[in-house]
Amino acid sequence: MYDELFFKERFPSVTAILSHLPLRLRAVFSLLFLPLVLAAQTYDMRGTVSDSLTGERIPYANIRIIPLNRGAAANTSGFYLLPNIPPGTHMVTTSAIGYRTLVRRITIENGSLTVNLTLAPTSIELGEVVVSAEQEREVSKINTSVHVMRQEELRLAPVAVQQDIFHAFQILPGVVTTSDVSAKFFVRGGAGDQNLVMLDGMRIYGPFHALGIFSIFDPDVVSSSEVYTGAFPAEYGGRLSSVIHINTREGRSDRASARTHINLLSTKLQLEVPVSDHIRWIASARKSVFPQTFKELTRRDVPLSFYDVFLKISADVPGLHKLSAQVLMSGDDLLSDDPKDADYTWRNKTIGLSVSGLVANRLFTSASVYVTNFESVRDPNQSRFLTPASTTVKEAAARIEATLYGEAGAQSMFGVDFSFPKTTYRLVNTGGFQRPLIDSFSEAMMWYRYQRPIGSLLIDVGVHTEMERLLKKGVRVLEPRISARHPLAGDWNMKVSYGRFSQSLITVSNEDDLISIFDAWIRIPTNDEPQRATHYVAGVEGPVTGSFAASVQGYFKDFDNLTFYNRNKVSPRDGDYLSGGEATAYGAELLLRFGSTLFDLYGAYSYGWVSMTAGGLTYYPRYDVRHHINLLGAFRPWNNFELTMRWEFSSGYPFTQTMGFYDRIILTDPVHTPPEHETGEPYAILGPKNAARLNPYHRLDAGVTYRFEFGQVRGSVGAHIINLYNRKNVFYFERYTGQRIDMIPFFPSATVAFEY
Amino acid sequence: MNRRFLHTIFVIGLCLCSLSCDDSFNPKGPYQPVLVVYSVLSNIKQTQYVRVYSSYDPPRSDPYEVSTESPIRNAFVQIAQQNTSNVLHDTVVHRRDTLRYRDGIFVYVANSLTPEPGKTYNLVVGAPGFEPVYSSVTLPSKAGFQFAASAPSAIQNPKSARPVDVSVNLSPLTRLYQIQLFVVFEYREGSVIHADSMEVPLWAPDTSLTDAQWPISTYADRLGINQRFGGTAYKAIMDRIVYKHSVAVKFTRTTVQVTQIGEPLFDYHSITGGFNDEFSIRTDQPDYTNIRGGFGLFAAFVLENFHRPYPTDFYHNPEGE
Repeated sequence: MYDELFFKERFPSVTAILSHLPLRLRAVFSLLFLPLVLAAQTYDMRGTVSDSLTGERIPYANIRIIPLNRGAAANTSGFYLLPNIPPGTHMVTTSAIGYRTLVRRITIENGSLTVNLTLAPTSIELGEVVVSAEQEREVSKINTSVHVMRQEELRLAPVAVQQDIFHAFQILPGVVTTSDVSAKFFVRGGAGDQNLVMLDGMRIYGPFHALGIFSIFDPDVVSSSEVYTGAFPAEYGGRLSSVIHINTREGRSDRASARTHINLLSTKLQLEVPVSDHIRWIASARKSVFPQTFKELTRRDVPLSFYDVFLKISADVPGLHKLSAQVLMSGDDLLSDDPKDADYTWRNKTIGLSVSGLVANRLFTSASVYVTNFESVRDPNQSRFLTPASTTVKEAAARIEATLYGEAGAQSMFGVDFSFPKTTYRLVNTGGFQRPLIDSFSEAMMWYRYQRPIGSLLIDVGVHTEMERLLKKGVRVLEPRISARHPLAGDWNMKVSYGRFSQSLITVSNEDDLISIFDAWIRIPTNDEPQRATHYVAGVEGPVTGSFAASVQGYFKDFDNLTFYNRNKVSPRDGDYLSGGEATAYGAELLLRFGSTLFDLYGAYSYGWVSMTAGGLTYYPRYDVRHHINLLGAFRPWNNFELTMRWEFSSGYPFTQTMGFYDRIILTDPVHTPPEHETGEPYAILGPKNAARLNPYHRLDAGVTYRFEFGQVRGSVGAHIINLYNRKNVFYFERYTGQRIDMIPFFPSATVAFEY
Repeated sequence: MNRRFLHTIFVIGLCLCSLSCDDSFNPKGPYQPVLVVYSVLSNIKQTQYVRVYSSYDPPRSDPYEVSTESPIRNAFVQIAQQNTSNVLHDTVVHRRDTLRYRDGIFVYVANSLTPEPGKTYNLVVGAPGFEPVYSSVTLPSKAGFQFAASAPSAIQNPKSARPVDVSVNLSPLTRLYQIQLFVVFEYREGSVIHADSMEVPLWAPDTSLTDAQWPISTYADRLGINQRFGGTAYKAIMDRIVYKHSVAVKFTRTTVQVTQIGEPLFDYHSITGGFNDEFSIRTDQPDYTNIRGGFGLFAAFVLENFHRPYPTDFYHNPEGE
């Protein structure tokens, strides 16, 4: 029935077990193993996909053997595996955005084959970026709410002074911000601390420069980003709303390269150096240079300076293994000249080591260990209203992920994430007491995910859990994650996703602050159950015409056990916070993409509704936006010349109206300062919380970029205008002065970049 | 560029300009004036005050633009206790801080009302053009008080440096309390005799009192309170009095002062200036009022003194026997 010798060679352990079994059982097991054995008559093809020029691995490349109707996509490490290819000669087609499609003849004889593929870069057709590639990417194949953005896409949006990946994410449907000063974002009705940000598998707790004005990640070192706006898969946990996983580049391996740029905010230097055939490093450093720009952007006298540094050393180890070490550091100083204003400093240090590769026949693993340290300090100086405070998050963690490539397109993914966070929050509270909150704990998260096609249905089921809670509370704390895709007519697909999520680390800030300058991470103070959320997402997507694609999704999110201010707190015995808050968010999103050689258009519309109930009060959180539109156009009338435009519209954000004032008497000593002799301080009488809406927000940005080459030096010059028609969008209203502060006005800026 | 193209550009420009038009925006909701009432009753005085003024709506949202207070001059103000009621009349009292408002403070006063511990008082304030407002407050009942058995001996022998222990049984309505010990004395200056007192700290390492711990207002998490005033602290105060006034001093009594603050006053005091409890990490400043239909506070505290006279032949000589 099968080649016994062959089977013994391939599966010695199974053969050994079978030999000890009675004959009947041996027959049964033989039947069970029959498919495996049949599969064993075929062979695997695996390898990496790299850039032929720079040698960098290409994530998400598609590898297909069209006559066999077989295909696979490279993972973020550029690794691919095509299982069960019959012996023979096959035409293998490899494609990726920004590269010429490669068709190569591969002959498989009598064993699995390692084929490393290289693709030649071509000039980017953004139409290809925005339309055609999306449906082919592995990660977006099933998941409903994932947006994979490569560097080219991150550059699509017009630059707001300097390019920023978090600002680029804001064009995605379901992502809103409450001001154009801050890159801090809210996803599908979730709070700002419910977004998980990871860099090469490492959690980053302070991903923003001061005031959230920009992210700390240099877009030039980013290879790709996966943005999950909901129902994210089992490998992610610890947050309720979204995941942003940023993968960084390795640097060129063909020759040394340097890149520098300067804009109205910062300057930077980037170096990429191959040390040997297998070892290379990439380093990038940015530093703010024009503090006046901050003042224009924030409409405040903000003496802000920042820097960020990224270094990554990568080595290719024979046998499809890759080793890398990366360091990310950033710092921000907001040091005021006026002693009555507080000073703030922020520091981020993250260092990690990761290794990935094929460790067994079909088992691809990646492991990383890292230490991250986020620190923020507030020095009130002589401020009347603020007190000293500091916060740190120190975390040592190890994360191991594995993908087992199975038969017929099946994949099993599993992993563990051990982390040892220590959160420290030191505060002199409003009563003048030193209040240290120090929490040191460990978390062991585990997940399993299984993906396979069943006929035309593609399913992805998984479960995520934290081990200690699982042991204490039982299976009810398991967080299932389910996604499925089913083809419809034409190339249209229907997708559904479901997931449950929990979060036990939150930030402490005044929930009504417009811009939170000082966010402290703490473990949920109620020592209770974590916050929880359940996501339901369904949608359809597909091409309307060859160059016009559309996606429609609807979502429903149910939050429970949210931590919220105890509004009835009076005595020291009353907790500051309570758990048990609830929120409901639902909405619909429409994404349209059109691409051509001359121009590309991208349109996203989100309808959202979110309402919170906490402590008997039901209200709209300040990031509740009904209608949000993003229109993006990139025009290329001539070679090397590109004009981009973006128009954003949001219906009004919620705010609380002032219904009047009264003079409130502060009884500093309730016995000896009788109220009959005191004047009191004005105190605003507030209307129902967040019951009114600001005016609609809209803004048009435009930018032109010209790219040029002199020999080996490439460069670009760009001019950008934020708020082209100078719309006066309300940023905030000083309740006690009546002063109206608008968001960024008409603001031109320029960038110059050179690359060798 | 042909004419049609220019026309298109012109139309687009016009549209953009119209988009930039500044929508007027008013952050204020509909204003409805309400009464603001403040009154803190206490059992230690016969005169009780009630301040009555109005909320206001500054024309440009800046409350500091308003430079005159808005007292309600023709209000009906009544404080009632069971079958007894006091209708208050208006007067003007001294304003401590005249930086913002220069005039005296217009208040309503009851000249012979001494609230009794344990009793409930109801406040009604009405004024033309305003909805009437109501509130009520119950004063904490009298505290149970006792010197410890060892206290008399410790008080009369300061040099023994033994602690003075007292026990207090608080009212169930008390939320914040303070127990203080005073040494009351007289001293002669020429032919004039002055009466004075000095507070005894809870603890003091030496007579300098530099690192002394003083009694503070404390949250009443139980009714029975035992408080100790350290012997060294007591002796330090007695020594200081003698050193300051020499032999001309005559010790008359020790007085333990027990202050009990009821719930509304404690609540208001705890949160209106920002949470001031030891453990809070909250940075917001929530509002508090117990005036139904308005804003402000109607609250009360009870202050009691418990005396222990010194023997007529008592003297304290820090140096000798």
